[in-house]
Amino acid sequence: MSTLLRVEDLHVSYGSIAALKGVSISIETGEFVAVIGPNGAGKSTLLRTVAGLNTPRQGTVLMNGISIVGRAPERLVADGVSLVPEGRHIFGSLTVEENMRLGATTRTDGKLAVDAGIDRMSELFPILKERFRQRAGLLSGGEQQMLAVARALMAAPKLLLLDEPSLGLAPLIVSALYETIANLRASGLTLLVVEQNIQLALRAADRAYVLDTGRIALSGCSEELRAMPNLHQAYFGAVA
Amino acid sequence: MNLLQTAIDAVNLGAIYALAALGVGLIFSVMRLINFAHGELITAVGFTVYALDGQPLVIRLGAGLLAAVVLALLMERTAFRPLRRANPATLLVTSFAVSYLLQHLVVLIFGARPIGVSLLPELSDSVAIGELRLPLLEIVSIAATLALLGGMVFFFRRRPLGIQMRAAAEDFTMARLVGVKANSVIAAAFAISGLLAAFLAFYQVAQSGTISYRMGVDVVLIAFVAAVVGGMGSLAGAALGGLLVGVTSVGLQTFLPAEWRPYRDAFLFGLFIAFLIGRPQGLIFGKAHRERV
Repeated sequence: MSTLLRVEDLHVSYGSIAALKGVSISIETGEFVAVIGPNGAGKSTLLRTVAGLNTPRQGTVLMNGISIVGRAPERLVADGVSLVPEGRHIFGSLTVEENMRLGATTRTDGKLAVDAGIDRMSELFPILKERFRQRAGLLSGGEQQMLAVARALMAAPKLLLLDEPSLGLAPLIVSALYETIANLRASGLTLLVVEQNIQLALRAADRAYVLDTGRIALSGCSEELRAMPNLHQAYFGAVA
Repeated sequence: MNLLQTAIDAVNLGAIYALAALGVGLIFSVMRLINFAHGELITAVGFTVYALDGQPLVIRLGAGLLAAVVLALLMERTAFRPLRRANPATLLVTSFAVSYLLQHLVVLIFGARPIGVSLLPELSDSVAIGELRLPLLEIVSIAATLALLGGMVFFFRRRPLGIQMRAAAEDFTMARLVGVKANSVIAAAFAISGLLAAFLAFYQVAQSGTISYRMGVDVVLIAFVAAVVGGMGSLAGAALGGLLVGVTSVGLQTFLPAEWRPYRDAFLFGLFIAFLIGRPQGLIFGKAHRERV
């Protein structure tokens, strides 16, 4: 195994408000890593910075040992980093198929490979297949989340960043989504997932970082963290 | 027959305004810029066509088209790209600055008086179809604008760059996150706005036979009204808004009592103010109301 992503001493601010105050994490190729933590801890900022939407004030982001700080988001997609942002952000006025094909914007391996990708997505997400020609805005929340993931996968990423994929979805949909994520992981995809649902994250991920007010408070493999009786009280207030 | 004539006039003006509104609306949807300097693209075409008076028609039209597209790309590169992260108010003020700069550049070189230009004089004849007498210019203009609008629909529905532009119009940040190149999409939007401005200018010069440094101002004002009525941020809305404004304008011209007609535009804008009070989001709800992250 080799380290795919290494974040070192990352500082990110919004104006005068510091969102990340020296965060370091690393992810091995093929790993599933979760970032958990309370609201406002800086989880989304971490993902957005890796994806190129935010510029760090200090610190670096290395992919395969090379700094990717300052690269435009669209360039990073071509380099193998895809973010599914919180709130899904599907293109509602476009059809489901157009959304998926847009995911393949940076692919250079030709139309046949993209068509094969579309076929694979309809296997992974059978619900979407029936709605190919529909406007994506008409999909349910769960279907929109599936589409957002499918769209990101169409870029054939090396590293998939998921921001709160379970937010606002019914429990049944959430477990279907996480089943798909587990399948992706089994097929070799590296995943960095931000989750507020701790139990869910610690069941699915290999390792997790606990982010609290812009700093890594704790990290370890999922079993370890699951076994800590006071994790909830310490970082999330009341027991969930 | 008179009614048919009016209907044809209405379609013509509606299609012309649709081109204008689309040119303005396109730039607004991809970068939240209300580009008042769009009018100077029209002016650039007018003066290019004038400067090449006596040259073959193809060269004059080709050079006019090129002038609009190049000027649009130049505006984007020099004035608006450095400000892409600025807030919409800054962008708006910048577009005024660009607009005034170009207007007064024209005054400096060509003077402030309107200049007579002959473009496509062959089209000033009318053709009789039964009892109907149609200006040739109107027929050609309807055919050209409808073909251009058809081309736009094809481009936005079928071409990858067109679909990328629709995605960028809806959610620019997300478009970048799927790999759409911000610079390419915005440059393409400006190039297309230049193309649309050129067609508008050809019609305007051929129809009025004059050019002046303020020739683009009125059309652009109408284009903004049309884009707002259609729903800022929606491309289909902009085209639809243009059509509606054109048709309404011709309708008022025809059906208002003769002594009120000089005040047609007061009625026109009054109607649209009333419309926007009732439906502030416009005909088609665009994404203008969403914050750009």
